[in-house]
Amino acid sequence: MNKTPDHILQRAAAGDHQAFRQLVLDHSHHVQRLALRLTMDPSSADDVVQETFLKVYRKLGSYRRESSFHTWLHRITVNTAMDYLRRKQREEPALPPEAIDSQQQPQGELCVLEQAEIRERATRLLRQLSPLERSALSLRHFEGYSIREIGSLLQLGDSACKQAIFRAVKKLRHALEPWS
Amino acid sequence: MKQTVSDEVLILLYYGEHEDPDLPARVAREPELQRRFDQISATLACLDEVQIPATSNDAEAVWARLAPALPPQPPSTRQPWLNWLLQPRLSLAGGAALAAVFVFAFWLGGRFGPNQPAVPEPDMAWQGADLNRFLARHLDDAERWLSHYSNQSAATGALDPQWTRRLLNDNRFFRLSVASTEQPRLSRTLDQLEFILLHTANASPRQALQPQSQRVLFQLRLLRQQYNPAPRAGEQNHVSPPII
Repeated sequence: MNKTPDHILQRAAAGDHQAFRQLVLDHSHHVQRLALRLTMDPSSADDVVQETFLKVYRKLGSYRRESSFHTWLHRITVNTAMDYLRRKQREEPALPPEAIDSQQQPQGELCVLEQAEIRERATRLLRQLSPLERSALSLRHFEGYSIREIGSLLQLGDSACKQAIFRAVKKLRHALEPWS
Repeated sequence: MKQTVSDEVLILLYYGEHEDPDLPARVAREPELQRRFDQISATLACLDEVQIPATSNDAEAVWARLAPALPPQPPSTRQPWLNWLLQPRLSLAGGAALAAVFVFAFWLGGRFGPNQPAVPEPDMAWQGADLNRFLARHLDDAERWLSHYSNQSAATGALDPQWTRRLLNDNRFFRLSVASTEQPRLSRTLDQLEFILLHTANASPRQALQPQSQRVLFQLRLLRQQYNPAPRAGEQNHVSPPII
């Protein structure tokens, strides 16, 4: 990730749009990728990216440099994505996990079609996880954050963070049981 | 007796976050444990199959969407050094730095103040003909004032106190400027003039200073001729040789 120089951060914090543009150009790729991982939907990811950078613009003056700007930005992205997912979940309740089990069961040898089915089930399962479970599992599995770092990003203790990941994996195993 | 290894611990092992350093060896030794670990690994590997539609990854497009939503840019932004100083994290350090600057300034004032004139160095301040012209103008002004002073009567009225004050300030400046130069007569005259101006500004009885004012007026006229001779016919008024 590009390291944004301090003077750019200071100017952006003072409301300088040019400096903030530079900051967006430097970091948008990573914010987009993370938002996409968490929302699993390009349109939702765009919304999260937009909302994230607006929050960054408003909060930049309060950025204390206790953590790196990268970590601070990711924390805002994760929180924004989780808020977004929770809102969306309230508006469009997800299918219960059992719904996956009611799908067609695999028969015979594992073939290309079955591979596609596994992919589809895994994708659907990820979408059906709670925002917390999805965020914790995605940050661990796809982004490579340690459990402690995820705890810091999600403002959770290590234990709560582990439990969120365990629950997510248990649901995943359940959804993929026929192929296990 | 060996403890049972839970699926949770095997998940942590998959991500390399297990706490027991002997666990990998134990899993490799025990077939049942190995089978369970392989099962968990296969399940988690399915996540890698998940495909997420890509975005444009166009940073400029992100900015184009974002820019209209930003609040208007403030008309003037603070200087970066001021932002740095005013950061809450640094407020203590900033305050300490300011205090240090003040203390240093006071120290400088105490150290050098009384021994140094409160005006620029004469040879710096009095470079060029223009500066000589200022002195000549002051002498003219002072001469006019002294003339008024000497000829004050009930008919002419009192001197304008603002004029006296202004002249006093100007005279103080010139007196200090020439104090360290080799011009004793000018220095002495300005000194005496200041005495009269000061007493007048403080509304002292005029009669007591009358003889002195006559002497100063005389001295001023002489000096005025020296520093600002009257222009000859067809010639611009020019300034005499540098006074300092």
